[in-house]
Amino acid sequence: MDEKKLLAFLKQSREILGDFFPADSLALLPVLFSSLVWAVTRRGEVKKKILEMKVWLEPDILRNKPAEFVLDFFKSSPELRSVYEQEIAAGDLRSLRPAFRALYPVLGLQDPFLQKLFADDLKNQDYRRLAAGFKPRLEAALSEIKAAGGRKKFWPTLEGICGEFLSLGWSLLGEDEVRELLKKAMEKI
Amino acid sequence: MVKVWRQTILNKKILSGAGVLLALTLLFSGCSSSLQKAKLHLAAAQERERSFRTDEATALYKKSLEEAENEIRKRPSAQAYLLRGLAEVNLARWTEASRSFSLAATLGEEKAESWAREVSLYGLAVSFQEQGLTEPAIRQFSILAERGRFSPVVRAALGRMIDSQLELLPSLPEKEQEKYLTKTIGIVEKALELDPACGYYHYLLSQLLSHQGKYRESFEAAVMARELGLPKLDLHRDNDNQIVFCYRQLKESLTGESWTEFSRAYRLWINKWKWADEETPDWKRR
Repeated sequence: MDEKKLLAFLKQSREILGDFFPADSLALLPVLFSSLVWAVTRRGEVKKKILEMKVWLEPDILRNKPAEFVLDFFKSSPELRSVYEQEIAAGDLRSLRPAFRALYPVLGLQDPFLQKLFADDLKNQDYRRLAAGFKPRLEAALSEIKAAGGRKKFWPTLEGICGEFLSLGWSLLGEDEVRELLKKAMEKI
Repeated sequence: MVKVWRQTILNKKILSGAGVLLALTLLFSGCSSSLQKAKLHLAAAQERERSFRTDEATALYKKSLEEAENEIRKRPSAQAYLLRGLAEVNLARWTEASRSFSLAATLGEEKAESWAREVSLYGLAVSFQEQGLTEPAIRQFSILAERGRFSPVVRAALGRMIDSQLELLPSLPEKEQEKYLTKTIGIVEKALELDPACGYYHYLLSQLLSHQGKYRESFEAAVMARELGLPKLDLHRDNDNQIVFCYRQLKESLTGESWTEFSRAYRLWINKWKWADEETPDWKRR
């Protein structure tokens, strides 16, 4: 599929989903982006997963990591290292741990929904803003999804969009490629 | 010759696959009751779960739940309630599961009584935790993790117990921290003795060992977890990050022969997993 077709597909999908979300929705594009990434990575076998937005936000990893792990997370990323330079040098875990809780799912686990939700902060490398706004922004997006999900046709519509996306041949690409293509295309719609 | 042999194997595989499909179709058409369908979906879901296809498993648990509910509407029985409870447990619907097991026990299913108690206790502990009552929650998770018999509850309780206690760890004196970690590792090892193929237990062990600074052992446990499979994508990714973290720590601390030996083994694993390099798992954006 060429870029024009992808843009047309995304615009159409945004319009369709727009009926379920408020005009200035936080959640619409993250829902679309993450659903399409998941549809591709799971090779179409797992559309049901997309219908369970609540499940993937459940805390099932051990969130409490050793101090060395937290420090390594900040040190191993050049961008984070420069933003949190002082805290790292001082070993200030009191400041680093709360930031880690917000940044690790986004950057460490690369959750596609969170990456799209905080796309602006990531683009501007404004990690402090991301960490500070993580909880309220996520809660606001989830409440939008909850409201949309309460409407009868929302999930079948989203599933239909993923099905259409897969039928266009995207399952032949890897997750990296799909993420990058979608990211670039979504910036243009 | 090799080609013919491969072709024969392939034909055999296709035939045996077709045979399984035929048997399943006959089983489905022959046993049209919702109870049988619920059992089949549950068995299929457990099989998918074992082969790390948890999203498909979730869909099948839902189908199993629907069929069990159909059966209860038509012919309520201990078995139907038990099946409904099992599907609900796997969908993390703890309150409903406890109710289903209690009803199964009332109708004569003995084991369901203790399952109902464990599920109900777990649900209670989760709500304590959500209300900020950490201590009673940890106590209940700990009882379930050590004495529970219903494996889905034992696993969930063990994970919650460890994470809740790790949160309190930095506030404890160093000696107490070590004591706590050793005790918790003992609990996980005991769980592993009973279920050595559970990837999640190896994941927990790896995390705890890294809190003790035992990076070589932590790495080995994380490799086991990866090889055995983890039930969720974020667990899988967190475990990969743990492997990379251990690699970095060992790179700094090991020297000479020990480092050569470790890095050789590490390279073999990452080649197997098709990682781009030592610090880039296959799923990570480059």
